[in-house]
Amino acid sequence: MPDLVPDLDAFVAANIDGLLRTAFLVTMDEGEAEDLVQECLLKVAQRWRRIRVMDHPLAYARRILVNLAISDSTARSRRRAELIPEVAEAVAQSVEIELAATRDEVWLALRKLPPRQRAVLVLRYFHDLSETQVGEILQCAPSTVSSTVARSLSRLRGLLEPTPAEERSDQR
Amino acid sequence: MNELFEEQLRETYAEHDASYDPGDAAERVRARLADTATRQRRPTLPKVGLRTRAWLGLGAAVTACGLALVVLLTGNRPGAISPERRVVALTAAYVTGSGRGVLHLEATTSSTLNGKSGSFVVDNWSDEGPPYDYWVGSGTKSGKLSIETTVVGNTITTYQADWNQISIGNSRTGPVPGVAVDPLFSSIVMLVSPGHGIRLPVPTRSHTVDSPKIFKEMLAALAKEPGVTVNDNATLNGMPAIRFRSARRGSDLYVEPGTDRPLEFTLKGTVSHKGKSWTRSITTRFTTYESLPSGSLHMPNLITEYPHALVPAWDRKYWNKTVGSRP
Repeated sequence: MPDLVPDLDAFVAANIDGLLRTAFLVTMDEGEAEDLVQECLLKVAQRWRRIRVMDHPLAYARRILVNLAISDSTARSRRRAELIPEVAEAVAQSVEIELAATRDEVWLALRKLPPRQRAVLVLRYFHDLSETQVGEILQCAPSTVSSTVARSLSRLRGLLEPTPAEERSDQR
Repeated sequence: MNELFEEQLRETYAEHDASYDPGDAAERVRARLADTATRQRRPTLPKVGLRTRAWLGLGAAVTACGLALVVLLTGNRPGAISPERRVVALTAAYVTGSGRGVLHLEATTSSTLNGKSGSFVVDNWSDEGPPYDYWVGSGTKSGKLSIETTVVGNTITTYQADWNQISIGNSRTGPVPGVAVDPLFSSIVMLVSPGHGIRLPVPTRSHTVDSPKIFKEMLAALAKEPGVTVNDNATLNGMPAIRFRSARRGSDLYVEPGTDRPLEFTLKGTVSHKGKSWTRSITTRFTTYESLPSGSLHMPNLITEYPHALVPAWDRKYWNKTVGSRP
């Protein structure tokens, strides 16, 4: 990577896979994850002189990533739909088919959560970060993280519970 | 029950993480980053990303809209604080910051003076508490950095790219110390200043106008000014926003519903100097307005950063006297 300062290059090399994984689990879309990490690392590069001296540069990069994922998700999906509606529709259909084939109910239910709740769950249960660490990334109090996690889990559980109609058909 | 469910969630993440191979994506992103880096001389003020930032602001406004609705609905209960006062208080608290960490703001400012217009990008990092050090860089929208300024203690240092020159001075002396070189502040202070009727807090350092601190306090003062009308249902570029309008001053301040993050500040008025007056309008769009932990401000040394820059004799003398000899 010419012209990037060496330690930025090292930072990118060491963390790009992890950031892509985080972005993929939050967005649940490989293409969107790639776009997101690119935007995130551009911001990191622009601010590198300050980020490099931070105690936890990766935490700051994650904050940028998660903020992008949360705040830009609506605009990004709308932009895609506006640009190439047919392609966007085809992609959406293929994703649905692929997801249905996985029969992974939890994964399917996660898609129905808003981006912020998905991000909180990824940070808490994939990265195993404490509520304080998640709060630092999301710039909110640990108590807010705790309540968001509880709400997200409750909603997820609600999505996974069978509806009364499904229960009746099971009993027959 | 909870533990079982949490375990199931962990397994789901682990399973999908294992099935995801970021290898090709990582290569593509790195290649695009390298390509961008070769096109940018300095990463501080990017050519790319301005549209992205604008989209970011709009997206964030949508996300925050729901939260704002909750705030406003609860504010309508009998006996509760009025929605306007609540919004004003929240906005003032947001723009003023915690008074501890580091305030980081990025903005694009467009200014029109007698029909001629220009715009620049500004990136500003400032200590929210003592010693109130700050760094500000401003440049063109194409990414060219034209002015970079640091204030460390009593020393203000400015690098001007057009002249390849470094000026050094005392930030506590002069008629309006520290202000003339802060493009974001100076562009606005010409219209809104203590002389123009806004009561600003007394600066914390005697004879020092601490630009970033005063700037944010000026925003808060504008939000709290008597006679300001608050529109909770305003839109900014088609997205929901809260607008504070001062008809008397010709200013509009837009903040993001729910978070109270400043989005845009516009000002229209007349600038007078030595009996002449000009009409002027300024629009400052914030792409970033965040509080970071203290210690996030890494101050560059402009003298060593631009070793071939010219340093006028007087400035060199001041530097040698106060800081030490040039490296």
